Amino acid sequence: MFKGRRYWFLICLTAALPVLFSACATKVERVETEQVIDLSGQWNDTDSRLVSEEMMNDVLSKPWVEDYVRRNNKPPAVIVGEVRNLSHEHLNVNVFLSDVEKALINSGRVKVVASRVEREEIRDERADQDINASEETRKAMGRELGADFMLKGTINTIVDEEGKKAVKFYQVDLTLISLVDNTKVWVGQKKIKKFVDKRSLRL
Amino acid sequence: MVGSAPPRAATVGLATGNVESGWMFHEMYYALFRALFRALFGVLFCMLSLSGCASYSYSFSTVEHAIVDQRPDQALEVLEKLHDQGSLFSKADLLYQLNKAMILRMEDQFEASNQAFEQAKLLIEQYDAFSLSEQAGSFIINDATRAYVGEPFEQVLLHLYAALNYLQMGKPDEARVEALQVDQRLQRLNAKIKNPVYTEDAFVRYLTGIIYEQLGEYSDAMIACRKAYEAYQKYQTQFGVSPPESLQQALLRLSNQQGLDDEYRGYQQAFHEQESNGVYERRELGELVLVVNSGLAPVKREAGVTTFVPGSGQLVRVSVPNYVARRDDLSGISVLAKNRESTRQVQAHGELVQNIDNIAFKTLEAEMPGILARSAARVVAKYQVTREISRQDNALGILSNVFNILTERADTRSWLTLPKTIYLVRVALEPGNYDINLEFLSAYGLAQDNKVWPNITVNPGETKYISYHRVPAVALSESANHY
Repeated sequence: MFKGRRYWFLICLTAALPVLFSACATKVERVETEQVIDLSGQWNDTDSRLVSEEMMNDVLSKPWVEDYVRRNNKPPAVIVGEVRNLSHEHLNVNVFLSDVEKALINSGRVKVVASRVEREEIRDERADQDINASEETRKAMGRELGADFMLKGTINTIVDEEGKKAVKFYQVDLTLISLVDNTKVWVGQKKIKKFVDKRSLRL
Repeated sequence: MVGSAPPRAATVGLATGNVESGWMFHEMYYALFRALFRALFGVLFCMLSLSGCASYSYSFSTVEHAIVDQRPDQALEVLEKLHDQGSLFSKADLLYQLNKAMILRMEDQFEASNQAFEQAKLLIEQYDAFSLSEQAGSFIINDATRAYVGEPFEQVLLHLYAALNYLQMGKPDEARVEALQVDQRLQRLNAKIKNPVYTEDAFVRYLTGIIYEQLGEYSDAMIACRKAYEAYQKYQTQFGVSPPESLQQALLRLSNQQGLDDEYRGYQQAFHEQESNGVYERRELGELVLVVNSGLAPVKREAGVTTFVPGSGQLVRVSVPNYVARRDDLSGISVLAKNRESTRQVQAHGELVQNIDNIAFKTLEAEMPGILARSAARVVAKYQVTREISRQDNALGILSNVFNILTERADTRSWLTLPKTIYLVRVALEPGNYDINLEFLSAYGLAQDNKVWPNITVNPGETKYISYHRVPAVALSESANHY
């Protein structure tokens, strides 16, 4: 009984061992940043990119910018406020926020003022200049540009789970609110839906 | 089946020896095979008797000593060593991450603690998948060969401490994420495990209610507090913990704000309270939430029976885990918040909100039929295999029997850095700077020691979280409570 096929099986198994063990070594492969790689079904770079693309295209194509320029004869100043994560996951919202901020600045039609945290640091620097910088290069305090609009938002999720299967629905809402009278001048929305079928077997 | 592989191999060896053609070759082959088989058994025997003897709960006591000495840094060092490469326990172990996270919390390293909790969540997800090799291992060797996914209450409490970490870092939105994950976790657990004892966690629900209320999401807060109240009613009979007064206040406050008149009247009758201060009045004040984790969670020990099977001369062993409670000298807490600017001071007593001892005992009790069934199946299988081997080769049979006895060990893994009980103080404070003095009360209501947090600033509408782990030296001795 130990002849023939069984021997071959053992030989094949021995031959396969090095191949099996080679899978244990760390392997790095570079991929394009646009390539979609979904591993766990959680929020990832692809979701962040899809959201920022959608928002960037939308925010500058709507009439609020022209309306403001027509009325005030100057470009609007926007500040990026908080995007609240109301989802099931600890996800990083700064990635797409910086993309949106970049799109706003680079369009040249809108001015973007520094956020609260950034301002603190700049004010410290200005206070330092007040003492240490020369008269000609010193920047005076109290000349900051006040923002006209604030960009705020939320990320919400709905998760429906049954056994190893789950449907994840993400909704990102961004709103541009006028600081003068609280009117909302723009609302952007992006929805992402995923079906996750989790692995039910392992070694 | 993997379980029957060795005896079949042995009989195969014999059978081939009896075939006439090439008799010499087969006899040699059989001798070689038998030698190999014995050597393999010897090696396995040594390995398994080593790992089998090192039960997790015993190996962990050095970590506990460091915690009692209030040296979390040292505890972490010992823990790292315990799960080091070449050690018996791996770093890919859920318990490594859970204990690490808990010890880091004791050092106020909340960020690092939460990283470990995130790792733990990933491991739970990963080990949740069915593993054929581990099931086989559990059938041939013992339950401890399976990857540890944690008891249901351990999986839920992970979110409690992760949320507290975020709250203490002043990130209520991130704590809210944990609150949502608690919901998910409980749904998942209840869908999978039909354990009727622990289906809801009253205190974790209550804390999520506090988080929602703090964020101004009153309807979510209402739902969470209602769930907590329902769970506490079950807790009352099962785990001996009644609904805390601060939860009753929250229910009155929130149901009134939500305009749930019938429910509000129901709570008024149930709690014998007429008025509660309103949600918005309370918002003008600040709030202090103090969570005290007292003692250490019960430890799993092994209870085994070894006996001769009459007639066969074989030894069989059945061993199951049982929980042993640890001592604690705390029976209550009292907080005095002194305003630094004025002479005003507020005193509040802590309430027992979670009894992990009782939850652990009752959970294991409910799981015991399953553990016993697996153990019995294993004993029968091992008995049959040994009998089959003995029939072929007596020496091998004895070896196999010894192997079976030594490897039949109970699974004594559990999250040992969890506290025995949790106390909560929730007190509304006028905005200002406070010195917080926390007193630990003995069985006679006397203060035995205290802990001071000086200069805690409370802003209007803000909720300040403080948590403390108190592990007295008596926690290292086991109490007479066995379950």
